[in-house]
Amino acid sequence: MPSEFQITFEGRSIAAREGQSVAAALIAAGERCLRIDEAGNPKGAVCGIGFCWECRCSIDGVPDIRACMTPVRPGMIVRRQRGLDGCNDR
Amino acid sequence: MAAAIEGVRRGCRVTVIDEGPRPGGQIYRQAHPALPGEEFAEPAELDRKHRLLSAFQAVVERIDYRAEATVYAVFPNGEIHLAQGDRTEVLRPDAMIVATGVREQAIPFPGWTLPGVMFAGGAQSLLKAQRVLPGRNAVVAGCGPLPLVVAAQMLRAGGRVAAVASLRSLRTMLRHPRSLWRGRSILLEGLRYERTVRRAGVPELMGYVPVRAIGGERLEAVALARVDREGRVVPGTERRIACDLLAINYGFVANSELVAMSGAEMRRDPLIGGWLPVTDDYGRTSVPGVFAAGDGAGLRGALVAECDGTIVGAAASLSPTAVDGAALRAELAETIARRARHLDFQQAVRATLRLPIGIWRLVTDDTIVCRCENVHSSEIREALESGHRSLNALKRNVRSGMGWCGGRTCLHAIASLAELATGEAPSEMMTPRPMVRPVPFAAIARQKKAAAE
Amino acid sequence: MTAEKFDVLIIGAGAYGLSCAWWMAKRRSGVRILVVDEGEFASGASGRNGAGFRMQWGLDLNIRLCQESTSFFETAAEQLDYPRGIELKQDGYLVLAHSEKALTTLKGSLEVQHRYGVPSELLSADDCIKMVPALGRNRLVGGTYCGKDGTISPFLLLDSLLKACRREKVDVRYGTRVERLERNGGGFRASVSNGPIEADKILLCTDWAVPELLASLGLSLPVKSLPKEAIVTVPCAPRVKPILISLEHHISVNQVNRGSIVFVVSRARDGKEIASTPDFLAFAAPKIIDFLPGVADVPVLRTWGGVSSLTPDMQPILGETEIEGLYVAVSSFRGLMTSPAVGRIMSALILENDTNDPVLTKLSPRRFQTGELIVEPLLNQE
Repeated sequence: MPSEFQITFEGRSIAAREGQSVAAALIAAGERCLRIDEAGNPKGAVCGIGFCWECRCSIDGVPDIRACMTPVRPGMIVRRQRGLDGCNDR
Repeated sequence: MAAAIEGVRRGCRVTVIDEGPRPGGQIYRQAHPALPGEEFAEPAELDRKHRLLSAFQAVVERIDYRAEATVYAVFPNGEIHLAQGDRTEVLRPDAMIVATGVREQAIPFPGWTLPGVMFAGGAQSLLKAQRVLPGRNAVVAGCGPLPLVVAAQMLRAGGRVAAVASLRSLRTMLRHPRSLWRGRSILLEGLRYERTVRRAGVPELMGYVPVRAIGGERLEAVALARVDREGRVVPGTERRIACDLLAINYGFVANSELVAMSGAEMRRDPLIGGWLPVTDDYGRTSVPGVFAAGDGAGLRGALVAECDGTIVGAAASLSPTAVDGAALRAELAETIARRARHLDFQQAVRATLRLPIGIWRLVTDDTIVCRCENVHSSEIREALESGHRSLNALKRNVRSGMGWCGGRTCLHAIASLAELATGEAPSEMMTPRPMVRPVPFAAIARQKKAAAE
Repeated sequence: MTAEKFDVLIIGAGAYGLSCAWWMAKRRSGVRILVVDEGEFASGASGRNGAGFRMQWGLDLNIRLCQESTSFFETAAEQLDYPRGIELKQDGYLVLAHSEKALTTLKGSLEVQHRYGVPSELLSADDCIKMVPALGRNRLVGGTYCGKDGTISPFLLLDSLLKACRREKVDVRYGTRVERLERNGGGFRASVSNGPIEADKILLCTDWAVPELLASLGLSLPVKSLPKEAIVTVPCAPRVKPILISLEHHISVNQVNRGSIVFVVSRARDGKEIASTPDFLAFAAPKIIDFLPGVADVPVLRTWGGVSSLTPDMQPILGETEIEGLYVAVSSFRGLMTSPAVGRIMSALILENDTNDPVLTKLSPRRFQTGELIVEPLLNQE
């Protein structure tokens, strides 16, 4: 794996380094809102260690993946889930 | 790690199951080797970390070390069910040591669900293991030593900290001079963190707490206010500070769901982790063969946890009938003494973690308490008023604890709100059930059974 | 200690207990009714089930009980003066056959249902899959569908009944366990931890635990406990609209409003515990994947258990025992969906000695003495 590469978040190209978590790469790029819940509330990373599940996103078509627990890969496509939308991909 | 090392030393077949990709847990979290940069922790702490990690690395070839593996259920019959990759497995060990540590606790307040409000330890883990600044302009709020440490590390990493709001001055620890003396080396580390914060000119707001997080799609500012000794907001003290990160920590809750699921007798102590297994000095729970070690058996800090791991690892290595209290005590005398010394220091630290019950009034009616199910404090209050007191009853009525996180983020708050409203906290935890982590049907269908005895 | 006195003591505050209490209170004002339950609100089987109601049964008495109850659910909010409603959802039940034998059973039951005007219809395997694309085609031969079947929120039903009971001055007490029953003159005396209770009549609504209290009066009934376990998935995108029942897999499937899918999987075993058993998930997962391949990658979030009742003919037991004034109502794992009708029938029986309803003849506790047992064909039990 190259040490620096790009992933996309909501269509935007984001710089990432090998070994980073998806959450870290997104936060470093200034992104905070990773999800919109069923009540319309914007949500982001909270606990950073995988127990709160607030940071879950659709990653490469698979829904509900914790951004804080998942290492970045070159070309990874990350999308926000809006309510249960984005959970269709399963 | 300490328990595993001791188990190997005593000739046991040891299996270690850990959710993370590398050893270290939370306090000694390691960055991926490919990430450049440094940690901003005190050198002495880094020394301890590297020493323990090296010792573990030295034995890792001799153990069955499962990284990125999650135990999703344990049962009173001694079975451990774990998920690893795309399949699951059942193990039936002679002894199980649950060393699942603690997670952070927050006092919910209006707006706390905005992106940009994080647990302080979570923000710290971004710094520590991801080498990323969790925010450009932070406010750190909480109780105990952690907020100060996080603020200092952020500053050392080149971040800006607009304010540190501590519920109680760390000078509270001075009321325990003997304990402080026992932990003087750690105290010195703490003082160096404090110096970093002071030298940077960061305002330290004593007695202040967040009362409101402000923003549209993300955090833009926080309103802090001072509370009195009973936790009541003092009128006229509110001040608003712009920030893009609010790192909060108001204590810790033990990750005791697994040990509870094994059938172990539990007790509640909010100061040291909430619901904890009842254990003796050797980590034995009420279930033969089930042990608990480290912070998960009572919040006591990393130094105690390491000693505890060695002691419990030793006890678990012996067959149940062979645990001879006197012999074990003699063998482990030095470690037991060290543990007692470190525990003594913790008494001073605990003084700073005490939360007055009145502080839970910060959780206004319109505050979301269960984030997963969007349950507001008003719904919980109404259910309490209708006479539903247990966490199970509250769960049935308002759905708190039924979402993705299984109550990990909200149940401590609900228990405290119940105590505030009725004078008594629920005596039982929510009944622990599978799954401790979600696992797909397909992985469950691909299950490797325990080897026949 | 002087005993408290009531006209009717109901033991068990689940759907049956509360429904019977409300119907009695409505039927005659001023009746002094006490309902006691050893647990918390909704902690028993009424709070631990698939939340469904269906008219698709094979025996006329089950069809009639559920038909009347379905009508009640449709107007429960008004009848119980509960503006919030009980989350009634009528998206139908799809009962599936994976063998010709099962299909024959379905067809036979359909005939009986049509005699009573139940709007159910026969579907081909293709129709079933069109309705629920996530279904597995493996061995599927067809099914029946009734659009008026559906689900409610058990908690809201119990809450509405509880509030309605209290409005009618029914005394409902939780955390109150009856240790023993004794005869007391023409009535009864119940031993409760904080003092005895005297009542002219007693109705036992403790389901599988009914025999325990009957024993203290020297009576017995062939009721066993029936433990069942369920799986709840994480919330996912809508993919199962009707409730699904597979007669072969003994699974029922309900995707709730919030998106989670609830699987109740029946497995023949003894026990009275609600705890999740170690081998349940490994048992259920392959069956679920076979039945509904579309959910293979959906994570399981939680498991839970419940205990219902099992009788020799798998039918409810409703009526007066050999002891005058002592009544029982045992659900045989269809308590929630029959509770409105059972409430009405039992209230008429207990207050007016009205034995006219044919249901009472067929489901009487005394039927086990005559040995005439008719089994319901549309059972989703192992």
